[in-house]
Amino acid sequence: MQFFPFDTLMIVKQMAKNTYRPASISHSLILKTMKCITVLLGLTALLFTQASAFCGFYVAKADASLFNKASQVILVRQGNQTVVTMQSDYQGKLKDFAMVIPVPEILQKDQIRVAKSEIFDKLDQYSGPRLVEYHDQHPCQRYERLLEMSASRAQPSSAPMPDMVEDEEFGVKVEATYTVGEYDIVILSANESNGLEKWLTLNGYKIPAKAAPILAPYIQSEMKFFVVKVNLEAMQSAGVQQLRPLQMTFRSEKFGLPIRLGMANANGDQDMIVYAFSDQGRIEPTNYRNVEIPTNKEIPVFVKDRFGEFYTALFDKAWKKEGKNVVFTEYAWDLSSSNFVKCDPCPTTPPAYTDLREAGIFWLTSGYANRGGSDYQGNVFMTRMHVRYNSTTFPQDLGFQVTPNRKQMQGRYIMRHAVLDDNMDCEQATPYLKSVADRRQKELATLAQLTGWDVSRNQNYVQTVRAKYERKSNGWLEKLPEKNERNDGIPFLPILIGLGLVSGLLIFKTNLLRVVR
Amino acid sequence: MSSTTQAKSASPFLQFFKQDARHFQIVYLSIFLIYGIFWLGWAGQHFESVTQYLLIIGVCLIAQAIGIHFTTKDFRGLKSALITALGLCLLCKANSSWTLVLAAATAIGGKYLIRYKGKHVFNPANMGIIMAIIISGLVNFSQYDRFVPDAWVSPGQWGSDVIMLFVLGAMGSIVLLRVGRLDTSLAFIGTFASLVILRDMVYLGETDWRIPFHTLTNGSLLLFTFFMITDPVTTPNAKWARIAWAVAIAVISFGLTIDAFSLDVRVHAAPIYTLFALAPITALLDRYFKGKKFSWYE
Repeated sequence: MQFFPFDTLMIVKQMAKNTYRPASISHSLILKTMKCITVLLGLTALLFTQASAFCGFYVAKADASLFNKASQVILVRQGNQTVVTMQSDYQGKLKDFAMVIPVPEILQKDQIRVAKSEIFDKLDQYSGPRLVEYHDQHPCQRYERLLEMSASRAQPSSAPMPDMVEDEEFGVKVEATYTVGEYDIVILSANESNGLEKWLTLNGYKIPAKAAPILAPYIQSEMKFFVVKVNLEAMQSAGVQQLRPLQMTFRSEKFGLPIRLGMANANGDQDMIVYAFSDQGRIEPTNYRNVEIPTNKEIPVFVKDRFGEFYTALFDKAWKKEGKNVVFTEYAWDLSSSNFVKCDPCPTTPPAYTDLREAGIFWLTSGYANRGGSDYQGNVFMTRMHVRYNSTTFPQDLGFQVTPNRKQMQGRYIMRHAVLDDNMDCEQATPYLKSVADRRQKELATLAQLTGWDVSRNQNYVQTVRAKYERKSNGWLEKLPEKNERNDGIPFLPILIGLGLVSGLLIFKTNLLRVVR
Repeated sequence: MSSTTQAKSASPFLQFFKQDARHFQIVYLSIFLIYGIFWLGWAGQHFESVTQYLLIIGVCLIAQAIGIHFTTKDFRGLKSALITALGLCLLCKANSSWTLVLAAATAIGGKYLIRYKGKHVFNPANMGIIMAIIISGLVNFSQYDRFVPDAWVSPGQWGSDVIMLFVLGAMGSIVLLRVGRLDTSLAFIGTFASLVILRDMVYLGETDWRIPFHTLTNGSLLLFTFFMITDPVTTPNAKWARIAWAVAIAVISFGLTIDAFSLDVRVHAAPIYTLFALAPITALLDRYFKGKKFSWYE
């Protein structure tokens, strides 16, 4: 038995392995690249300073698969019409698969369809937190090497399934039954929660003990229940290997996601990624606090191979710091046909007309836009939200609203490769090496601050450059050790002072006691 | 109003500070704004949010200064403009800076243009938010073919921490005791809380008290309760009229959050809409229920 959102076991995916990916560079990326090169060539004076903010090359991403128990949802909203698409990463036996979703009305068959699984991967890759890299120009020569790399993705695996018995009892009314794709769908209305619970149990759904009290308020507010099982025959005849996302659309003033049922039968925290689309601007939560994930930080280059690990640690730390009851925005971007820059940098080609239609954005029309460089016309704004919730920190269902907020943001982390070869015979080499050592020290501090990792083991990252620099510089003054180097030995002085204070206090106390006696 | 117990004459600054309840209000609202920017991450990655706050404050002060110049010439009134500006910063968000200029200008403009018997009718910050939403919505009509405003209220920006209830409540109460408007706040939040609890715990049959509590500890709701609905100039003068008025606002805002009536007006901002709609009634209530007209200077 599974309640929405999908709380299923996830295979812990292998952390990002970097593979070179030459293809899939969008034309806007190429243009961007050209722009960046021009800028870099033009600004040779700024060699040692930070490169301009929004160039840089995408190398790795932290996708949704890194988070255990992560469900993914696409939410599309215009006016009072909502399109919800749910991706199941269900790993158990297909005949045990089931989910119950409260919906505001009795859905007709043409309001439900199955969508392609790839759309989730597409949106995840496009909007996920990204690592970009810059290469310093050689202090003595002038050239620029460009590199684009990408992380391989693990594909979510599939699973197999059962049929159901119909029964009208206990104040439960079967409003409609449909077979859509590989799913058998029953839409129920109920008079009271115990009846619904019994009906579900009789029909072979295993209900968690805590479900009935949570079902009651939905029944009272006249919500209907969208109950889904897998139809094995339909699945075989359709030749599908894995469960496809279910998409439904309805009109309702209510705009939110029911998360409480999913928490009834799950222990611990669950992650949910919401890809939200409107034609105005960002979508934001109304009953929980909304925070942007820390972004545009320079981190050490050795994080490259552990980027997934880095991002999960960063998310974890931010989540704890903000009080565990916030909704994080990881990405917000204007995908309107009039906006030429569909991402910057692009981890993958930005979603095209077919992708956006697949995601349920019903107001777009196909056709090349005049200046936007997209194959569709219309306004679309995408927001990617990441929620980690449990029943303690998120007592209510999530409510959302569409806002006119069109500020763009992305989870972007920057790596800057230094030039550390042996051809350092020019005058500029010494200040360059010094600047590299200094910035690496900062990068380590940023890394520690973002992830909570202990970076004392990584001091080598700074020391190698510092040694090079010291060898280079002739001035004896510069050979003095830096003050900001950490002494990782036992802090003797504070311990001594502490011991002194404690023993003094003890002596004072005992004397005092004696006097009192 | 005469609750000041002239403490053993403290420093002249403290004496000056205690003369006017608006000083407290300005300090508290500034604390909330700074808290929001630095701890709740309102500015986010976007520094322009902070410049937008400065823009609102600037426009409000200039508009008020112009108003004062042509009317009373009493420039102490700038304090009210600052309070209005801080209220707008805390509640109103907009995509374009022009919308914020519009909000600030209409907030103060409304004070001078829409008056009845020497009192302005609409709560200035409230007026600013509503006007920004309505006018920008009409301007955008041609683009979207439906009402799509450029301004919005972001109830989620505060979160729902219990501590908020105490801090906002306590600070609000200090101000309200001094201006004698605590009754309005308590009548509003009392009625609204009762209705929410009745709906959740009795009608919907929730078993978890955190459900209504989560709604009631929302920062925007509390800010409205203790710092907006209580503006002494735009509330009825007579005590019982005031309480009845506050109860009416609570009932109607709650009604707007019920699905059956939901008019896609972003129900999360329901009290703000209701206050605007009920503002003209204040004048009516003042006519039938006599009370002392409020003055900031006693």
